[in-house]
Amino acid sequence: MRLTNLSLLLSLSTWALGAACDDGHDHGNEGEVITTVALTFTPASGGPAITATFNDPDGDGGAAPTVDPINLARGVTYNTTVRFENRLENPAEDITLEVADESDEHQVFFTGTAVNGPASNQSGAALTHAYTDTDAKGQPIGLANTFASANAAGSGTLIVTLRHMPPVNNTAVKTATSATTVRDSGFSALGGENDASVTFQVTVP
Amino acid sequence: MRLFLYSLVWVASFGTVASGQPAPAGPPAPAPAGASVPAQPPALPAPAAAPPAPAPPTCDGGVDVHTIDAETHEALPGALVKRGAEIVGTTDETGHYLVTEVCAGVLALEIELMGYQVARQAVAVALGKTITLEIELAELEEEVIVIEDRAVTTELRSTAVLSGAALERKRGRALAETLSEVPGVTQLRSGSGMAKPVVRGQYGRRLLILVDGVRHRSQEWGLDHAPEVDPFVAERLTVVRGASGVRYGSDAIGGAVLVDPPELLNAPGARQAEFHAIGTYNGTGGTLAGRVQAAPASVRGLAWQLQGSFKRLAAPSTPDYALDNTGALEGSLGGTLGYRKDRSELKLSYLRYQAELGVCSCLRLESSQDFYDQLARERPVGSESYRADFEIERPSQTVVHDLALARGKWEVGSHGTAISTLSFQHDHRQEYEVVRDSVTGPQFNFRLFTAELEGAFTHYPIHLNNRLHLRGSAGVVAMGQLHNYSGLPLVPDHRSLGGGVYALERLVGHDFELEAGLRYDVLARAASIERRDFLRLVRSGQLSETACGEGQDDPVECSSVFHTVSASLGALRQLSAAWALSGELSTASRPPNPDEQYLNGSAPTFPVVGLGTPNLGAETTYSASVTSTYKGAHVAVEASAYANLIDDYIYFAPAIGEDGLPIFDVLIRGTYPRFITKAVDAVFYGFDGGITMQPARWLELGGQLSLVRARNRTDDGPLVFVPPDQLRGSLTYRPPLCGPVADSFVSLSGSYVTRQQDYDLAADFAPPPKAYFLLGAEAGFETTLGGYRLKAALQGTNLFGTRYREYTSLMRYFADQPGTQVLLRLSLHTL
Repeated sequence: MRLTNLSLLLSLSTWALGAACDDGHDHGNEGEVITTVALTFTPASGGPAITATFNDPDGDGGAAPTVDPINLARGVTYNTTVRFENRLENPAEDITLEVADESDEHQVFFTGTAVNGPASNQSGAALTHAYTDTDAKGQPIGLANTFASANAAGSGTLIVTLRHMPPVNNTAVKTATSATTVRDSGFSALGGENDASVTFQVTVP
Repeated sequence: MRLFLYSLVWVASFGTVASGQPAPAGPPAPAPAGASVPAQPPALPAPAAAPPAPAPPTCDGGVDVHTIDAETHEALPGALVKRGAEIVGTTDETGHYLVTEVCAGVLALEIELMGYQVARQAVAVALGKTITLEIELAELEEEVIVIEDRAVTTELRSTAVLSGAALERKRGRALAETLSEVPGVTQLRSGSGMAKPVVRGQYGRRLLILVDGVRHRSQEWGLDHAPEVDPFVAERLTVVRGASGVRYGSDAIGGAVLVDPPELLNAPGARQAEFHAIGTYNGTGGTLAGRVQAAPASVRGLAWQLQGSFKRLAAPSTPDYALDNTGALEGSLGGTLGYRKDRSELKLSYLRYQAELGVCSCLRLESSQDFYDQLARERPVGSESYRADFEIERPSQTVVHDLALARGKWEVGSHGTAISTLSFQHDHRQEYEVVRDSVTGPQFNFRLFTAELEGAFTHYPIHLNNRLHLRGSAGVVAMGQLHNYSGLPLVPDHRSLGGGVYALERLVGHDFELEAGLRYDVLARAASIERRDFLRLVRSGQLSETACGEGQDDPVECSSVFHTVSASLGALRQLSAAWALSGELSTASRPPNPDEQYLNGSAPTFPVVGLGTPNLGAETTYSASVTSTYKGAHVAVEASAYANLIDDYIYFAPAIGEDGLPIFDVLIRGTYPRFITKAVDAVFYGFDGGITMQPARWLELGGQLSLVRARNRTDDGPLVFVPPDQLRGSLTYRPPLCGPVADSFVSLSGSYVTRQQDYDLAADFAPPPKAYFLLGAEAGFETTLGGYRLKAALQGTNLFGTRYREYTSLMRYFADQPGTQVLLRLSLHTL
């Protein structure tokens, strides 16, 4: 049958040319992919850490990502670290290190209805955020933070956004007031692009 | 020798007066080239019904002379018509001349045209009647004979040709911009400011571009992939509006753009050169281009051509801020070698195009909400630090396109000519996103290899009777293609094999033409999808798990085969010497492109997740158009109306869930709407036309109108990126000759673009921009300098510095279009 013949011809012609030119699939070498955002909440006063992960191991599209809920105790201050990974690579690639290396043009912002802090104006929210790390210019990075939970029950969203803000024509885009810009006018008023922006559900029972 | 078979086969027609007998087919006595041929006695019965009566007092007979080329049957304008020894006039553009005040009896006519043998014809004329006389002129025999490239005559579709002075006025601009003032043509601009041409609302996959007769094979699917073609290659640009599937390939649903380099020189010892220098303000920079051609006298029949251009432009500025990082670095280099012997010729050609294009820093991919928020901004965030400089940083694109071809033409017995073309193309596109420093390579890396073999046979005109002849051609094409992709998940690798056969036949009469064509194509494609990407398509519901076999192979091989048929019927009627009417009915089918089948990832240009539909079938267009042209002494008009019904139109649109609401996907970078390619039924219809008037020798007025309407017939909704209405007007003043300065002109032009009223916010993201008016002006002159013709012109666009955005531009979501731009053009052409 004609169809089959054509298909066969096509398969046969996985051509010498094809073999010679195929430089293979290089998904991952392009390097910009983040599949996983992990938060680790460690009580400042000691105790077991709570982790929550947003994970999209097959990348954009396909299976929907999985998101862990975040359940925190009342009235506790948590030292909170953020970790970014590319799990399409095997072993998983730790992007956090690259973000730290380029901390002058990266910042992590914490927004959402459950967050009050430099980038989010939600008084009475379940969590109060503060940056505890700084880049070479003394500007916050957001890989290390504290989250203080309220003394009352509360819930809402926690949006973790990693913003890449490379300088434009040698003018810095990341500034000491970047978080304020997000708080007052949203991300659309801030230069750069999102490398990650994931939403967690937070509950303080 | 064969030339003689066709030389001086005089065909006389007596209309209703007497039935004409075709002249004997045997060759008349050979005559030395260039010598006059003895007048042939009229091989006709004497006017039977009119026995010589006493001469009436008035002579009111007439002879409508129509001169055509014996070989090609093209009309021959400018031929001298003599009555005996007296010159009575020359034939017009359509090859016609009306001899009036003829008395009854036998009239002896002599027709002369440079490069042709003199034709003499005696014709019997009756009183009170005008008879039609078709006279074929045979070319003088030369040692080097050129087989005409463009064997097929008038295009029955609406076409526009840019060449000579009109093309000269567009030099220094990119391909789409060069064509943008042709009625029916608009541009679809990418984030780099580069654009692709849009013909009657169709672009990219549905609009073929042929460079030197070879289909340009590239990543034409991407909205931000401008065609990798340097307009300096062309001596002639032709826009064919409307489905042209039979002639150019089944997927020429929207039409075709032909980029034709000049023919190689053929007179031994001939030389030609041209040089261009163009300087630009706002988009500071310039272009240098040149072409040299020669046919060395030492080797008869040999000819060569070298061509090159180089362009370096800084980013332009809008009236308020610079379009940071939209500079361009572009170059092309080409060489052609040809050899002609007797009636055969061989041509070898190589052409490389290379470009590095910056993408505007203003173009930012945001998650849906942030994207919508930034639409409300007057100017891009951070635009105060934008600069109009040459530097090209990420995001950017680099493209390389190579075209190598070998073409042979030869004569097949006395039946016709054959042309065969073997071509190879390599298209390499790399796109660089803004990334962390540790990443050095491109994020999207496409490589496409195409090999094509085409053979076409054009038969010599077949004379059915003395008023009718048949012209036609038939051909076969074969194509193999290989696509390699690496980078962020987007499109798969694939291999394709295709073939096609076609035939086009045309019945040419004195004042009408009829054309019919049929084509069949087959395309087999095997996509090689990484298992991971395949499973994503499965999970998204675009593909069943067993759609590409039961195995667990990685990569998964998904193959598809498409059979498509194209057909066309066209007619042309010459209503008068100036006025012609043509109409055309056609159908063509386009198989889905690999991206439409297997796209899988977030689109680099839009804040959407794009998914292909693997089991899409071919889309089929049924189109009809009517074109009328009028070419008078002072007025020329072309007007064309068209309608295309497209069934299973492959459309990239928001995915709608079972609940009737748009589907959103949660990605690591936020929430994005899901877009899928789906088959809908569509209709495109509209009108385009142009008029030029020359009320006085020194004044020229022009006007153009383009209207496109489109609907999604499936849900009676609008379609995206349908160009809004455009109206253009121009006024050119040509002062009288002044000393050594010739052809000077001053012109003003205005274009008005309406707001697109018909849009779908879910697919368009933002309401269409406002209507706008742009004013342009140009002044120029020509003079002779040494052995060269020097042409100089100064051109300004958007003279009011109007702030505007184009509906058909990716830039419109982020920034305005450039403000006032000025170009200074200088060119030298050998005389």
